[in-house]
Amino acid sequence: MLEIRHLEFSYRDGDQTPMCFDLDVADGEVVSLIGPSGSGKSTLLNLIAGFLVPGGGQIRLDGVSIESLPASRRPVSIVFQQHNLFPHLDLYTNVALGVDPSLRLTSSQSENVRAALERLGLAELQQRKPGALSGGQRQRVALARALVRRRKILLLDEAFAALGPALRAELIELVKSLVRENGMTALLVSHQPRDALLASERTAFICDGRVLALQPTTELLERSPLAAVGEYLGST
Amino acid sequence: MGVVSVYGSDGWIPLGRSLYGLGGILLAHVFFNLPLAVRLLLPHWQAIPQRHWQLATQLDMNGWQRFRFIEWPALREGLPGVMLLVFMLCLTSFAVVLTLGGGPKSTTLEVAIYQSLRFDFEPVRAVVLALVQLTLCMLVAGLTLKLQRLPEVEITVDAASSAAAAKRSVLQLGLILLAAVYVAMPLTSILYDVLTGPLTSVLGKSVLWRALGNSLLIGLSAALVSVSAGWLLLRYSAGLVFDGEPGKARLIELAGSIVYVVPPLVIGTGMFVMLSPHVDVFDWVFPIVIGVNALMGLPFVIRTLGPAMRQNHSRYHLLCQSLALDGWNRFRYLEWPLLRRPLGLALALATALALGDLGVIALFGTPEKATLTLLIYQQLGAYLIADATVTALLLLLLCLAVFWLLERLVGGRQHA
Repeated sequence: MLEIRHLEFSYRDGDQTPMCFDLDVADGEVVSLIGPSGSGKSTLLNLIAGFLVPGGGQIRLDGVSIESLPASRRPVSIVFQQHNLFPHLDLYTNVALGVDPSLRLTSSQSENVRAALERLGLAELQQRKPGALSGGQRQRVALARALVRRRKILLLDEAFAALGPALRAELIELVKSLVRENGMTALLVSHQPRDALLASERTAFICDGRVLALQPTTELLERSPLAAVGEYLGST
Repeated sequence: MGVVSVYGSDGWIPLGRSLYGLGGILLAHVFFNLPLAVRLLLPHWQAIPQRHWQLATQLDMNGWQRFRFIEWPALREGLPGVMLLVFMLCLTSFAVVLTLGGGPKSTTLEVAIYQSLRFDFEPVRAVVLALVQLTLCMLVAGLTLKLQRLPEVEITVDAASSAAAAKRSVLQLGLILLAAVYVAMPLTSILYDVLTGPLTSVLGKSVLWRALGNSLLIGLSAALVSVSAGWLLLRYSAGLVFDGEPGKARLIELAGSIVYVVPPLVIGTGMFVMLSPHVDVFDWVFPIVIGVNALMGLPFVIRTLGPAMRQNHSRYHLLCQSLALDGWNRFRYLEWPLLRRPLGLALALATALALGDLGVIALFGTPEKATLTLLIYQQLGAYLIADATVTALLLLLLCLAVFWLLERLVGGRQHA
């Protein structure tokens, strides 16, 4: 279980109000994060990933604090909206970097890379470079790398925002099955309420650096009494 | 020499007055700095995303609008820096002023410092002149840096679209042709003089080949030091930009551009004054000249490598952190493949710059430890014009060969 307790953060310029997050995500669960631009969704992911240093608070995974670990040692894989892949390396190498950055893979590790590519439907393309792939295929490669890293937490920072609705739905289904199969925990940031409906049983609404609501997705999107949610969804 | 043989009173296109004076110095500086300015501004133009050109086409922008809304904002970032660099190169120019000076009337501070040290043996006057030069440079640098900005937006590597290239006007092509002819003519004239002169007898002189070896040693060593130092500075600066501290990053890069405000001859003067009571500075020619030339190359390295390193850092730093891709692995799998092209260019530029240095080697050099540039100066002083022409051609060919080889070997092919 991923527990976030009073996780505080302030940007140096001090223009924004200090952020403070509280959130629980169960094993095998995908939770969507929605909210206005600049509300702190990506900041929360960056804090969990270790790219930002919190001012206080805790991030615990299965009861163990991870906030003092450097980004590379955290049990986290992250998929960004773009620039997930190195353009000059082929798919196999891009995924293999997730196993060992020195690329000294054992035969079983190599087999795992191939199996992950196979699982994501990319086995035939492993010698290709990212430039020869579609946007959806590139995100699949990033997911394949997340898979071989075998980290418990998967963070998706608007990972599918640049894709069409059908492809987004397909990849969200893929994420759900990967999370289920591998006992992961996933947080998905999206601007599309439909993504949240497809991806997660529960959705967190973030506004002004706080988790204002963590509710079943349908309930949050259709019956939330919060004015901020209504404003965000354009229903008020 | 090429400029004189083309535009001098006995040249191909005599300009009607003696080139030995301010007119000739100006003409020669335009000749030297035009290709450099183009080379340094080109990456800014190439960094314009293809989407912008497509947008311009969609919005039916004319040439002026494309320049105003697309090209100017991209060039504006680099223009103050390039202008400053060219200004400083002219301000601290030594070889051209020494060759075309035409007497005390046209002498610059840089040449006066050299004469005070090497001929008049007046270190105090040299130091005062150096301080005047330093103050002047600092004033100009301060003003220019106020106008300069680090890129605020992420630059993409999309090359400018072929559609935009196809829309080059006849006027633009004419200007490009004119500039090419202007630059090519002095070079052609040197070639002509060499081919019609006593080439083989001059090539048989050992002093020429010794100078060639010295030039190569100094050029390559200085470039290696310069690029290594520039790389480290830029890495740190890119990290600061990424962490939202562009002010500090600018300071770091400014530290690397110290030669902007402290001209090489001033550094050389300082070293001369500092070291001469303790050691025979003429025994330390190579380390001193390599060190000062490495400093001279730093602004070029920073300008050439900086944008690409910042872009690379902004795109992949988080991913690298997440994948624990650091140190040698980060260099091997990410930085070398993606940055080898600007790295090759930086190395080539720094080498060419060090090969062409006369100021520092003239201050410390001895006949035995002369480089090709110093040899040319010595040959001109001894009225060995034919020898000097051959040496000049050899220097030119060396610069071209080294530039081409380094850009090719280090730069490799570009990645998408």
